[in-house]
Amino acid sequence: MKVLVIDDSRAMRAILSKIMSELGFDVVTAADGREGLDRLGEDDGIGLVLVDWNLPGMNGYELVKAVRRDPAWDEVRLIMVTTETERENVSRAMDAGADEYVMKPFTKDVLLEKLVFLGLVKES
Amino acid sequence: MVHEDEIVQIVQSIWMSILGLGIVADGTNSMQERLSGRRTLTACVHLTGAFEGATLVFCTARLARRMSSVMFETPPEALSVEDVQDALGELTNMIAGNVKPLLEGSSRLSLPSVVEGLDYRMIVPGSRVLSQVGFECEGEPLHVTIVQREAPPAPA
Repeated sequence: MKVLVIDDSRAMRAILSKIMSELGFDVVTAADGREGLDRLGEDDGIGLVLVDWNLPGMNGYELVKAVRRDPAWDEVRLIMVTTETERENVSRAMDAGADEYVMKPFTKDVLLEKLVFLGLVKES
Repeated sequence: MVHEDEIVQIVQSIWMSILGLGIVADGTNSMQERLSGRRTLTACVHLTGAFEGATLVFCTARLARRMSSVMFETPPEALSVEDVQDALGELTNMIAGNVKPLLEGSSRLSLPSVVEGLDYRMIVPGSRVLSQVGFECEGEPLHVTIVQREAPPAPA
């Protein structure tokens, strides 16, 4: 499966790309929500999006809403990976259509747990 | 008020899970003295809303490059200035994001900004220091400071 990693930090994109590659995903990246949506529109092989909340321009929450508005992306799984830790905002993101929520800092094990829960990785 | 031990816990958790590096609070608050004469980076993430202020991280350029090297899995000498600034900005973003729930009310984080130089002062105008903790990582100093903007005087 192909995963799209959207984060404005190059360092965080590098960390997430490495983890997801090790887990067997093909990785593409974007630096903001608008670029992320463009990538998603160009590549119908993307089945999972990891998106930060706090992005320049279109933020991660707005991206989740935009993806869920388009039936063409119904099967795309969305995980927010973010420093946005307020309970109210976590609820907003889940209500908007995020499938899972990972708070930074995270470990590979935490991310793996979410991927297993979503059935995207088999439990070893 | 954000207690110093809460900041220590947050920073150690980030350093361990993201960098795999140990970092210890060394009880030092004399930041100017420790960083004076050394090339330094400062990253700042502002908080706006119920709490008005900022989270600032000060460290030597050498430590910033070492931490960036871990994040990018690239030798320190191969990293660009932008890579190093990006990595310190993201670490500061994570600290600010985890400090936010400790503050009263709902606030938003800004995108990080980073400055680099020698013997400069970083000031958030109209603010006072709420908490400040000195750390040591890889033998190099690092300081985390939380500042709060003073409320403007009430109209007469």
